[in-house]
Amino acid sequence: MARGSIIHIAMHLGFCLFGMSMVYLSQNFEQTGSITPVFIGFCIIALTLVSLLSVVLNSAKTFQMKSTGGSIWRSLAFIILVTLWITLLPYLGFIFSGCLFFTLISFAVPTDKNKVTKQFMAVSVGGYITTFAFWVVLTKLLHIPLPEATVSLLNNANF
Amino acid sequence: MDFITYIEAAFTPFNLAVSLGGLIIGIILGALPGLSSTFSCAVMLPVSFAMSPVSGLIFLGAVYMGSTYGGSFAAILIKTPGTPQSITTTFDGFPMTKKGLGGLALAIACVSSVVGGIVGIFVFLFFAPPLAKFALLFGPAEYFWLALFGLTIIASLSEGNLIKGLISGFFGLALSQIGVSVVSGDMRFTFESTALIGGIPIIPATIGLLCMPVAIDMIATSEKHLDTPKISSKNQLAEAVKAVFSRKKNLFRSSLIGALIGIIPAAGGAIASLVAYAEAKRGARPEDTFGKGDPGGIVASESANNATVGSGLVPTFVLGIPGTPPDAVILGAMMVHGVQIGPKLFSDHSGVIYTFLAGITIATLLMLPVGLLVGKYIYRAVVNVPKSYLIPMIALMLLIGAFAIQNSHDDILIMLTLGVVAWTIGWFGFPAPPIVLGLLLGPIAEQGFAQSLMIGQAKGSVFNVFFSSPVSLILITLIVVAIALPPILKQYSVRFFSESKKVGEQV
Amino acid sequence: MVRFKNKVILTIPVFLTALLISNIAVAYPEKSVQLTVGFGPGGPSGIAARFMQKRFSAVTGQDLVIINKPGAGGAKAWAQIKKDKPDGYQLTLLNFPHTVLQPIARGANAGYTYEDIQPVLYYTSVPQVIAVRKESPFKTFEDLLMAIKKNPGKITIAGTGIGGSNHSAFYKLNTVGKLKGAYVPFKDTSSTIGALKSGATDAAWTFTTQGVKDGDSIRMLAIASEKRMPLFPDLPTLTELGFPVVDVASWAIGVPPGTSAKIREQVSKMFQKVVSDPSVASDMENGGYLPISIPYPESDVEKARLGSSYGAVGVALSKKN
Repeated sequence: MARGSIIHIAMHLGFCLFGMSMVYLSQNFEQTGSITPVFIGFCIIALTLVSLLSVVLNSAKTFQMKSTGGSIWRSLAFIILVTLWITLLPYLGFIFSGCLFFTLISFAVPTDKNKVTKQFMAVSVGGYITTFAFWVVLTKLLHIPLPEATVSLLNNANF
Repeated sequence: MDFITYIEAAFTPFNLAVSLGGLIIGIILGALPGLSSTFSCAVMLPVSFAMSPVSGLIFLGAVYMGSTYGGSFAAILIKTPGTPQSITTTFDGFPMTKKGLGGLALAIACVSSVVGGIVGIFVFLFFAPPLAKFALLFGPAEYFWLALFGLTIIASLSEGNLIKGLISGFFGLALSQIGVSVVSGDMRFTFESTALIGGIPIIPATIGLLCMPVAIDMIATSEKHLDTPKISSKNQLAEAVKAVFSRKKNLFRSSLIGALIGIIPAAGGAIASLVAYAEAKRGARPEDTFGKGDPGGIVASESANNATVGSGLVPTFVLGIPGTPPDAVILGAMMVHGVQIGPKLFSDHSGVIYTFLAGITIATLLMLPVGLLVGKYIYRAVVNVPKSYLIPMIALMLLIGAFAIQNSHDDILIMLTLGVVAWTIGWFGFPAPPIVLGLLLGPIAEQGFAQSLMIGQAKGSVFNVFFSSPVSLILITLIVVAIALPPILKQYSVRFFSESKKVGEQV
Repeated sequence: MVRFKNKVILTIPVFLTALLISNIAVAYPEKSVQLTVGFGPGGPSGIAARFMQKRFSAVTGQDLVIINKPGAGGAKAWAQIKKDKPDGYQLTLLNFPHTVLQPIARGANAGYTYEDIQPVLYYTSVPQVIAVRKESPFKTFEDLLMAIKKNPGKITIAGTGIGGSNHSAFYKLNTVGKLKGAYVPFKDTSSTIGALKSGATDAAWTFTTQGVKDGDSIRMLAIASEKRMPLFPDLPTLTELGFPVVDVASWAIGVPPGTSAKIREQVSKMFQKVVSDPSVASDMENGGYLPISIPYPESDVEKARLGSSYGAVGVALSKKN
C-alpha cells in the first residue's frame, strides 16, 4: 500500500478517535450540556467509518493526495518559522519580531526564475517599513494594542 | 415623509467628510484579515464620541458599510475573508483571481455591494415597522432550524466527496462545543486551559482555517502567485456592471435574502451571505461554474452581506434588539450619546434616524468610486509585488488579525494550530470551509435546540415547540429541499437543464 | 537553570520600569490606559465602560483604550488579569456577582480565583428586574406569581447565562417565595430580550437598562433593589411585595493582583474623577444605571461583603445546575 493511503487511513482513524473521546468526555456534563457533543461525536464516528469503508473498497485505485507540485520542505519551513515567530512574539514584541521574521520568511520563499536574489534587500527593507507602518497606524492612530516585548529594550516604542 | 430635508442635513460638508472618512477607514479595516465589522465599529467608537450624535452615527454606519465591503478584498485576492461576512466571497472570488480576473472580481464585488447596500437601506426606509414584527417571529426553535438550513450548504461546498465534507463540518461543530456551555454552564473540553475558556474564537479560527493553507502552499512553489491580468483593466466598471446585471435574478434574490436575514436578530451578514450563496447555487444555470470562479458567487455573497447593514437596523431601531453583531455597537453608541431607542425613537428622534439613513446612503453610493479606485490599486499591488514580500506580509497580517481583535496571544496560537490542521487534512481531501461553517453555526444550533427543549419540557410538548410555528415549517421545507434536490437534479440533470434554458433568464 | 536565568533577566527590566514608574509617575496617567471588558461592546458591561471613555480624555488628558474580550461569561478576560502588568495601565472591568459565582461553579476550570479579583473602584450598578412582554397577560407581579404557583415548573423565565446575575436572582426569588419556575438561559442580554419579546418565554430576568431601552415593548413587574429607582418611581421592589430579594449587578475597575497600594489609590482616584463628571453621571442615570462610588481601600471591604453574601448562592447554583 502506498504511503499516502496509510496516512489517509490513519487520518480517518484519528477523526474516529476524536469523535470517541468527545463522546467519552461528555459523560461528566449536565444532560442539556451533553446532548449536542454526544450527538456530534457519534456523527463523526459514523461518518469516518463510512468514509473508511469507501476507502477500503476502492483500494484498487491507490489514493491520490492533493498535490501542489511544490516542495513540502518549504511549506514545513514556513510553518516552523511562523510557529517560532508566534512563540517569540510576547518576548520580542511586535516590531522587532516582525522585522526579524519578515526577512527570515522571505528567505524561505523560492526565487522566481526571472527575479534576482538582490531583491531580498529591497524586500527586507519593505518589510521593516510595512511592520512599522502597521504599528504606527494601529497603535498610534487607531489605539489597537499590538504585542509588547517583555524584554523592555525591545519595546515597540524604542524603535 | 420629508426625507429631502434629512438628506440636506446629511449633506453638510462635515457629514459628507465623515461619511467618506468612515467609509475609507471601514474598507481598510475590513480588508485586513481578522478585523471584523463589529471590531472596526468598536474601535471607532471613541472617534464617534467626539462628534454630534448624528455625525457620530453616520460615521459608524459608514465604517460598518465600508468594512462589510472591504472584507471582500482579502477574500478575493488572498482567499482570506477579511470579515466573516465575506467567507462565501472566497469560494468564487479567489478562483477568479487565480484565473487572472481579480480586477473584475473586485469590481463585481463593489457593484454588488452597492446594490445590496441600497436595497437594505430601502427595506428599512419603507418597511421598518411591519418588518420588525418579522424579527419577533424568531424564537429558539426557529434559530435552530435556521442554523440547520445554513449547514445544508456543506453539501454544496464539498463537491467530489460529500462524506469528507460532512466530516469537516462535524469537526467544526465539535470545535464549536469548546468552552462554557451557554445552556448548561458546563466548562466543556477546555482541559483547564485559560486559552480555551472562551471557546474557539470565530475570527482567528476563520483566518487560520482558510488563509494559512493558502500561504503554506504558496511558498512551496516558485511559480508566480497570481496570473497576470488577462484583460486590460480599462473598462472594468462597464464589464462588472454587465456581469452583475446579467444576473439580475441572483442579485435581487440575494439582496432580499440579505435584507430578510439582517432583520433576524443576531443572525448577521455571515449567515446571510451563506444562505444567499446556497440559493444562488441552487438556482444556477447549466453554464454557471459556482465554486470555480463564477461571478455569480461574488454577486450573491456581496449583495447579501451589504443588504444586512441597512435591514439590520430595523430590529435595532424599532425593537432595540441588534439585528447584526455590529448593530450592537451602534446601539451602544446611541445609548452613550443619549439617543433613546425603541418605538419612541421615530417620534422623538426621527431627525436623527433619517439623517443617519441619508448619511449611510451617501456612504454606500460613495463606495462605488472609492471601492473601484482602491480595488484597482490593491489588485495591481498584489499582482506585482514579489512573492518573497507577499508571503511574509500575509503572515504578518494573520498575526495582527488574530491578535488585535481580542488583544490575545492565545488567539494567535489557535489560528496557527487550526491553520496547520486545515492544511494537513486538505492533502487528503477534507475541505476547510465546512469547518468554518460548523464553528459559526454550531452555537446557534445548539442553543436553539437546548432552549427549545427546555421550553418544550416546561410546557409539556417538545414537539409543538419545534414543529408548530409557520417559520419553522418553512425552514424545515427548505432544509428538505436543500438535501433532496441535488441528488434529484443529478438524476434528471439533462432534462432539467434543457428545460431551464428555455424558461430561465437570458444569459 | 536556564529558566531561572531567564526569569532573572526578565525581572530586572520589569523591576526597573516598576521603580521608574513608581518614582516618576507624579502625573498619572502619562500614557493611554487599557481597560479590558469581558463582554461585547453593545451589552450592559460594554456600555458601562464606554460611558467613561466619552469623558476620559477630557478629564485625564490621556485616552482610555477599551478592549472587548467576550467569552465564557466574562471569564476569558478575568483569567488574563494575573498576567497583566501591575503598573496601573492594564486594567480590567470586573462584574459582580459574576466573579464570585463563576470560580465556585467552575472550580479549576474557571481560569481565575476570587483572589485574582482586585477591585479599586466600584462605580456603577444596575438592579435586576423581572419583566414580561407588552402583550403578556401578566399585568402585575401578582399575576405572574399566581401563574407560577398554579403551574409549577411550567412558566418559562429567560435570563442571561448559567451562574450569572440573572440566574442568581431567579434562584433567590425561587427560594424566598418557594416557587418553581423554569429557567431558560440565553447567551447575552439582547438574546434574552429577543426571546422575551418574541414570546418564546413567559418572563425574563434582566436589568433596568433594558427597561429604559425597551420601555414600550416590555413591562417590568418588579425590581430587585433595596429601594425604588428614581427613573422608575412606579416600579415596586420585590421587598415591598413581600419577597426580600435584592440582587444588583455592579461593576468595578480592577487591577492585577500584586499592584501596590499607591497605584491602586491613583487608579481609584482617577476613575472617580471621570465618573463624577456630571455628564458621565447623568448619562449613566438616564441609561438605567445606578452610579455608586466605593473607592480603594473601602473597595476591599465591599469585595469581601459580596464574596460572602453570594457565596451560598454560588454553591447552590453549581449544585442545582
